[in-house]
Amino acid sequence: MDILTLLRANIKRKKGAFLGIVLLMIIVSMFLTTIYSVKKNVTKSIDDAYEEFKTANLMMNITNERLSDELLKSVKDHPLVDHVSTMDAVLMRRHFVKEKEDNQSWLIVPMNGIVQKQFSDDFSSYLDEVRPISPEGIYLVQGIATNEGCKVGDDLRFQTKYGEYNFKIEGFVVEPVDGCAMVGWKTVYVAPETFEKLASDVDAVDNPDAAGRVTIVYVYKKADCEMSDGEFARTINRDTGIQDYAYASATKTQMKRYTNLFSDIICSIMIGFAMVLAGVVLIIMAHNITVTIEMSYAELGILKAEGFTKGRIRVLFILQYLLAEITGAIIGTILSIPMISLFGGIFQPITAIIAKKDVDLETSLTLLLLILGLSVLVILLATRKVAKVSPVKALTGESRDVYFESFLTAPVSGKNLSLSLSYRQFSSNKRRYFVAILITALLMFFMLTVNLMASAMKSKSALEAMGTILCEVEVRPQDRNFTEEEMAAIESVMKEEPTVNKSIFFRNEYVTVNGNTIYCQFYKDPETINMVSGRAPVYDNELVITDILAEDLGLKTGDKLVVARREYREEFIVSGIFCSMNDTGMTMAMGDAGAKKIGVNGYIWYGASLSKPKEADRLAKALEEKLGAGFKIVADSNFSEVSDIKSISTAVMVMRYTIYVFSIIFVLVVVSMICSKSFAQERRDLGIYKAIGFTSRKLRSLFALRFLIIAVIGSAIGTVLSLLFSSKGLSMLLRSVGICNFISNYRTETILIPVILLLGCFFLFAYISARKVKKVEIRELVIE
Amino acid sequence: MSSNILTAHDLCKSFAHNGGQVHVLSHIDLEIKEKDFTVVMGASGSGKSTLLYALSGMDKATSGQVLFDGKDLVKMKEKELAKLRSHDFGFIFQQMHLISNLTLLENVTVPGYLNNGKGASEVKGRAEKLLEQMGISDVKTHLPSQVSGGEQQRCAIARSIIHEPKLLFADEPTGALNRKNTKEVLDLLTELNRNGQSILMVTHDLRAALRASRLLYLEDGNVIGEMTLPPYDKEEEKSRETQVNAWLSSMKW
Ligand SMILES: Nc1ncnc2c1ncn2[C@@H]1O[C@H](COP(=O)(O)OP(=O)(O)O)[C@@H](O)[C@H]1O
Ligand SMILES: [Mg+2]
Repeated sequence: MDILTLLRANIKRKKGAFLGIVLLMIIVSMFLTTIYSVKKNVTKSIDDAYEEFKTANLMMNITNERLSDELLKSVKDHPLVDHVSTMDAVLMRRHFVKEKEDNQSWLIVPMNGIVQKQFSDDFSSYLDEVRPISPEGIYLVQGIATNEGCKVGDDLRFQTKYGEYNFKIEGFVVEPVDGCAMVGWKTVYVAPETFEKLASDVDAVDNPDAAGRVTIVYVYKKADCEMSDGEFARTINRDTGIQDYAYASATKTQMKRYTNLFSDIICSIMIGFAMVLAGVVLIIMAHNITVTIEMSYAELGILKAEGFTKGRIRVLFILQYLLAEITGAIIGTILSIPMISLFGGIFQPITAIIAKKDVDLETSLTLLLLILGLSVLVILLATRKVAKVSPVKALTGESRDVYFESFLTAPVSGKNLSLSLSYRQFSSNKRRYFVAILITALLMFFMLTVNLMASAMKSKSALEAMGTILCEVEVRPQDRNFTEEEMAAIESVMKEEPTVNKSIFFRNEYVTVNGNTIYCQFYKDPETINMVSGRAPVYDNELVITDILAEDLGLKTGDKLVVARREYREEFIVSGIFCSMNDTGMTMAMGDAGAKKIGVNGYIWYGASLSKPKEADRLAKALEEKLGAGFKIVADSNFSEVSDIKSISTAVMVMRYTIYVFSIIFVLVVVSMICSKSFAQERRDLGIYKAIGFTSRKLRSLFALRFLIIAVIGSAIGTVLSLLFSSKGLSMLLRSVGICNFISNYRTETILIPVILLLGCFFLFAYISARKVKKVEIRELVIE
Repeated sequence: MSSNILTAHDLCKSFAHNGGQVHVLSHIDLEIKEKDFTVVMGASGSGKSTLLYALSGMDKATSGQVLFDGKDLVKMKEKELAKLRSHDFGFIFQQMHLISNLTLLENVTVPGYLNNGKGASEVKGRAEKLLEQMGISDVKTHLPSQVSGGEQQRCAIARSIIHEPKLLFADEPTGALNRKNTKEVLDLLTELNRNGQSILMVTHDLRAALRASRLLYLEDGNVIGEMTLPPYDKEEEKSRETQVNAWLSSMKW
């Protein structure tokens, strides 16, 4: 009972600290529950969709002239295979959405009852029934809406050498495998009669290179087959060779991973941030307890004199703080319910699947219990000093000075009175502000790290160094390869231009390496490959692989491997490691000689990377004059239209602002808690300062200035931490999207924005918290 | 002979206490003369501190006027009061009240720096000289907690006159000191007054009262008696003591 009475009294008297902990805990538990639930919901929804759509274990796109009945039969008869189904499709390369041109390959398939689910036009729900499609209509997947910014009712045009086809977007359907914005290959749907017309148009034009007719092959493994999808695919290919004939193939596991990739990374970062926030709560608690013990030596002495043991006093502390934490945790968990509905849909434009809105109570409870357990530990550690309180010492008023001498002390100078006085306040009580510095450093580190991510998305050099090919000028022939003359013509124009850094002729195709389907890049000039180590693949038996592929396949420079493509089987040697984000880093590259050896001839894309991006338009015009019609020439000086980068930067932006906002709230609570403790300890000094002629305003700014000094030191430490660890951390985290060497691109605003934000908040919040200075009366100094 | 430096008219101060009002000062009229060493005596709880705080503008009177330099302190805004404290008034507390994380020297210089009229080096020079004068220059880099009470109070005196105030207030400056330190502090104040410093001190210590050139007696919030004395002279301390004692007993001390 005595404890309960004291507990009630303590909470009442220290409302500020109690509310502070409650508030911090609300944020932490809301944050953790929301992120964990969203993460789990997204994964679960994707899993469910794959289940519901009975997705095949192995999917391959094979052009019709390469798919023989025997090949198909050998797969069907394979002992591991349950069944195989196929779908007719037409491959379209050039399409115009709202008259904006794009070259991603789309497969057009007929709507023969294969569409199972359709989105409402605003993507907020699924329709009860799939709407019938009109002959002019086309159904797309949500990933296209994300990347191209189109909606129901927009016009869409395919321009091919078979003819021009105009469609109206009539709806968006669910396709768990390739609906996601992270996957380049897309399936779109038209009415069966429209498809028939298209297919016969294509068949009428005989051009094997254009490869207009495609069969999508779905292979299902037997229910009792325990192999992973990867092993299954490798085995099928080893036994039948079908993958070698596919120009694209993927397993269910891979597609699921791509669909979930991005949400996974963002959630990981946010979880890291939430953990830091949880750490901050523990730190603040420890700090609060230490200061409270320092300040209430006398009271604790009285309690001891009345017969309280140190154990009882510690229990009092534990109860007090746990009560605050549990209150916060309950409110936070309740608040997470609307947050989950609000943010549950945030990844839908990328995953193209509506996520559930469930609360992951199990995980959140486990984590909260963990935090509570750690709290008890922290409180026990922080209250060790209670043992040292002696009733006699405390009662004879022998309170210890709140200040400490310090080697950091600098003289108070007349020229910078405010600054030097504030610095003195700080330096004579570093221990108390250590907490604030630590917290600032952690927040700064996080802000900088997300800023680095955001700024890397905007920096051409960083993106290039991480393995994206960014070219300001691009040229593509329509549905065919460049001829030798055309390539010579382009080179003759570009040779004259000093601004051209890299001049790249390129094509890509899937090949098979040791049974794995790998995205292979072919460069006419292997010297344009972005090498990390080793040598570019100049000879016909050389190729280069990425770090990620090297690890995945267990290969290193100097190793031999067999590359299979259609009827070709050739031995290659790894001549070096290069850097590329294509296919999430699971990719390799070879030069012209190597390409010819496995039957790859000609290039379909030309790009020039410029040192002066503004020259792009002029160069594009020059090329247009030289080459004449029949090419798609694009000049883009700022890559604003690179769609996957755009959708990633949007999500990074959201993450950045979330981290900013929560950092600010935390700074607010932390500063006001530390401020009010400092204030209570320094009340007498404030009275003296007033008596010698300081105004309240001046004293407030001294307070604010002191916290500004703390923020400066904290941000500096945070920046150093970021310099040391951000790149490494991001490289580890972003490995799954193919970035194995994150290039930190510290720009002025990368550092300046969080610094200004932190300094401003510290100064402002300290100034506001110190408003109580006004109420300090000099008369309080009189002792009867 | 000399003019008034501070004048109080109809000064009242009451506190809200237990729902009622405690009238500590009631309708006080008072004039403090320039260059005087004015001492207000009274029993503990008679309202001496309250009076000193009201007169110095450290606390607001409930009603009435306190005129300094033609301006009424009671009506002043915080900014004006702060200016008054950093330019015209000095204050010495019974409990010294030095800032505990500033060295003795810094405790003296900081209020000096606030007074924008003088340059930083000039202030520092004057502070050093004052500490020398107070006999504590060898401990000037110490923190208050590292020196004795007497040294602290001498530092507090140096602090109170760093900006050459027109009027120095002292609230029982010897209240927390032992016999030896009391004498030293009183000697310092007497010396200051001899050099022209106007002082208003409240005390209930007879030894402190002996230094006055003008004595006031406060009881129940009213000034009920007054006596003027010649400037203090150590040689005549005995006779002065008898004289003051007689006056005090007439006040029912
Ligand atoms: N804040 C206050 N509230 C109520 N009463 C007060 C307050 N401050 C002082 N008093 C009362 O005013 C009277 C005078 O106090 P004070 O001026 O400190 O006396 P002195 O300095 O002469 O000992 C005392 O009776 C005291 O109880
Ligand atoms: Mg008093």
